[in-house]
Amino acid sequence: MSPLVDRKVLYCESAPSGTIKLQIVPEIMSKEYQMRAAINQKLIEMGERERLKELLRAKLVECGWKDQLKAHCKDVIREKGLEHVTVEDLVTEVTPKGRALVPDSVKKELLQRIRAFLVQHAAL
Amino acid sequence: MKMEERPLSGPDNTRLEALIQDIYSELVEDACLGLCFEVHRAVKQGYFFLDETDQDSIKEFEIVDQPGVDIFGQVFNQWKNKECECPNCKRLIAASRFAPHLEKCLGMGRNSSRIANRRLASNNNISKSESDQEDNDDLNDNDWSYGAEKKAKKRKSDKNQNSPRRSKSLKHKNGELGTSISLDPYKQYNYNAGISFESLGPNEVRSLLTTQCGVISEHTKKMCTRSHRCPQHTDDQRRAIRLRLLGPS
Repeated sequence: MSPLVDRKVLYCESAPSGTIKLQIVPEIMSKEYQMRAAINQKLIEMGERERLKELLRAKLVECGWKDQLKAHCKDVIREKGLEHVTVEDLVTEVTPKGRALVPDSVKKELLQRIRAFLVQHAAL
Repeated sequence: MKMEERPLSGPDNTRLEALIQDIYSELVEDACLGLCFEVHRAVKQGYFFLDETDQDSIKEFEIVDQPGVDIFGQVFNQWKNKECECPNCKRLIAASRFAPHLEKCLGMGRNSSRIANRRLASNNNISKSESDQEDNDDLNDNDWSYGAEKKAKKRKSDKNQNSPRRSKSLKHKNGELGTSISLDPYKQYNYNAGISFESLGPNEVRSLLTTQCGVISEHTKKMCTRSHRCPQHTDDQRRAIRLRLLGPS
């Protein structure tokens, strides 16, 4: 059993008969998960996630990643047939290649920005 | 938000790094998904393959990469040395000078009326020094010039008193000036807007000074032919020049 998983017990106070014991699924209550959820929430609330997304998009277009991937899409479409291609097809074909094609500089810059945000805002 | 257990920073940075990597992967996947949706929509709407035309068109509009030629294949300065024949005067004019030449030649365009009026004004001034009378026809063309209008008004009062026109000498003078100026119509840029006062007698000077500014410019030593209210010179200057030329009286 993972040491991070706690079996937590919650008490619901507003029930009329006093307190009710509730047992929650372990994974959701793990501290790790809570922390990640809180950090993600903070990212979204402060608008940082949007900014990071836009930054990543802009950089990927600049470095030609989008065009490369689009060309790969063309091949996939020609292979599967224009009429019958679905979103799932594209996603399964394209995503792994897309992840691999991201240039190192872009990756480094993004990691740097995420790290800076976390260090500043995540009360470590 | 506080952590009771292992902190993110400090010696054990792996959790922090793992977290960062996860966030990064999420962002990249978002970007890929975005692209997939875009492409899928383009495919279904039918505009995905629109940029692929037939081979011939692609060859025709390919980017040209030769020296001496721009990316469209056009030569720079190709028309610089060509000459065109003017439909009016039948001369061969360089291409870059063709438009201004046409303006002067045809008598149309913004500058040509101004220059023609100036020419007439200078003609009138010079002929005025010769005779007291003048062709009213010339003056009637000079509507735009305030000084010329004043001249016209003055002329009419003079005309009744004076003797019959010396039209022969007037026409001869105009004709002579006319030819000399028509030989040189393209040098109007250097037109001098003034008259040199040494060539005029006292009567002409007086009549000139009553209608014109008359202040003598330092650079050209010529009298200003603008009106009495010309903004370049002050009233003091005008008074001084009158004192000088006409003597104290």
